[in-house]
Amino acid sequence: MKIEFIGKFYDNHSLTIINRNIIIGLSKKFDVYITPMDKYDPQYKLATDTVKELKALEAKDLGESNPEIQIRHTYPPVWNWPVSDETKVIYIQPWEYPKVPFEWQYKFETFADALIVPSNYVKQIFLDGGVNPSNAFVVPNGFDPAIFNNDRSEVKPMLGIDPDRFNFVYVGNSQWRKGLDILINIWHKCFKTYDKCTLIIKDNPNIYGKNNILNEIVKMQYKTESAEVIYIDQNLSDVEMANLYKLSNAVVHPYRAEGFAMHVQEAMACGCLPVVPAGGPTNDFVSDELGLKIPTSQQNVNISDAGVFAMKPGDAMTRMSTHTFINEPSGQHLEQMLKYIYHHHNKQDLYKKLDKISMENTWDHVVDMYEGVINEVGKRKGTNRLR
Amino acid sequence: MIKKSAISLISYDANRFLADSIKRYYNYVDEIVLGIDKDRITWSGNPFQIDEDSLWKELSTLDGDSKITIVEEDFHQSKVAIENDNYERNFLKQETSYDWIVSVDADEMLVNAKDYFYNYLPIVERYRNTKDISLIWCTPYKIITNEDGVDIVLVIANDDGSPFFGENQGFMTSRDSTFTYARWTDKSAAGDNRLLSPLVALHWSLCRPSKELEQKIKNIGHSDLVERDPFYQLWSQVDLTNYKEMSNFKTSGLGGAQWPKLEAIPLTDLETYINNYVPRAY
Repeated sequence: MKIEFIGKFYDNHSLTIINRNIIIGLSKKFDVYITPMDKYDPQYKLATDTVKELKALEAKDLGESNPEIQIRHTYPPVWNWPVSDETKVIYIQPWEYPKVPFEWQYKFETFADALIVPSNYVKQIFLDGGVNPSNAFVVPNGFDPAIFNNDRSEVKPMLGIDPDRFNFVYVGNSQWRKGLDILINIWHKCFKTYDKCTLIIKDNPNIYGKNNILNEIVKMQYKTESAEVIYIDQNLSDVEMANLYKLSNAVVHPYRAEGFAMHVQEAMACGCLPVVPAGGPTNDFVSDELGLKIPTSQQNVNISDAGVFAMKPGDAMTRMSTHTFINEPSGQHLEQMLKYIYHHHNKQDLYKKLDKISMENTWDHVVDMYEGVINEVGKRKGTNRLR
Repeated sequence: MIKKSAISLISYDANRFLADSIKRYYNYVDEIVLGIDKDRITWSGNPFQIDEDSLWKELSTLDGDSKITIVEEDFHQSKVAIENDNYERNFLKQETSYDWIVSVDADEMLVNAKDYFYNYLPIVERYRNTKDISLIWCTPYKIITNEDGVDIVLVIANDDGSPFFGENQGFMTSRDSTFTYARWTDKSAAGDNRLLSPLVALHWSLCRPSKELEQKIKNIGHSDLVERDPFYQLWSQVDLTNYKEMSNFKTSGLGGAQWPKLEAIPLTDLETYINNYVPRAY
């Protein structure tokens, strides 16, 4: 089967990471062609072999032929009609808030042959918005177990991180939905300079834009005498990210709205205890038995507010099935949880529970799931485009 | 703690300010490199004179730990003042021994140096090679002697009478940086990679006797811009009877922040007044 894949492949945006991993896997199962929306840039530190594989796919030419399936994974979605009426269109489309843009729901219903989302949480959001359940599939995001694993025998020192401290790691940016403000606001209440623990904040300003996080956290440390905070804004390769996780003990992600939280899964694979809100997409891979989920409360938000960063001017958010709310993680509970972990008398008990969580979502497994969806959609008669 | 080198400049105002300025940070840095033009010519190409015997004696007296080195060089090679400014700072930087560079002008008196060096700097030490650190200027405007013979200093202030802390200047960078606009470097000149700090400096740039201010305006690094500014004319007219009329009176295009008003403080109380408000600066 000929498959064309449209998206970005060369930076470190989460969508891009997913694209390159699944496309390399799918290329071993299908006749795959890629249409990159970006160019190779060495600053993102991709492995040489990965670049070679992507370049080889990029060099393949569909010529006069048409793909049987075109997969699109971009933000915002690409809505153009494919060249051929025979080409089926599959969207991979994450979303974070409990109310999807109406135009998306409409287009997925009238144009797409399938919609793949990364979590059951996101699937339910789309179903609540009116997407046909038979067209909606859940395929989780994956991780590479050769890189993201709990073998800490060859961990390298990096960026001044002290492995003898108890290191909490946050990976993300300053977008409101990520909840970094919640974490910073409670950090100084949890731990002071005499506590032997560190909060590592891995930001990604090259992708998500410049911000003032470093000045905020430095001021917080200076004014409150909080425990150490390390801010990292450099681009890190997958191997370096895995090393960062292996220098850490817990991954903290108090998000208000999220589609999957791929880095939480990667950090868990590297042996980090996950501290995440209850009820979100992380429920798919973070067991309740760990007991480290932050209670949340529904709060209405103005999703059109530029500070929420959910949409751009002109996006339609009307006629949906729900009011717009977010699941606000409780800062008070997060504070208690971080203290509980740090002061736990027998931390090994916590890690034993973590070890019992089955980390199934390797990229190989995920690619198999994509293969299943592609084959199922491929067998369907005709395309779903409304005329 | 990482060792630090300070660089500063000897020019027409050295007798008035330099030794006092150095005293404020002497104990917190590991060496001090001072630059002076070998022909005693300013960046703008004008000759200057200072009482060198007196200055060397003063510096020698305060340099108990032999930290101070003086570098003489041609710092007026360009006809463009800011190019000479940048050249001198970069030249002095290359003469330093340590990786972290403190850059202080002679007319800046650090107010809370101990807190800055002991409590703030350890927090940001790890970012020294990627970020520049700025200080906050607090700016005395003019000293006027009142009818009772008391020196009154007019300080640029906010509407509530607190000192105006709205202007920042580059203060620390790493040795691998290049000064590209006075104390802003290739890392920070575009506005990125700047760490704000709680360090406050009394900046006496404007507050000096009339003739010295005129000399300053004609010779600073960005003198070409300042000479077109009606600042000096306005400054000359301000006295204790009319200073309250000054409102949003910054005329220079340098820096976006306006100067809200002037506050009159007895000169002897100036540091106390500033210190009371230092926690609000950051």
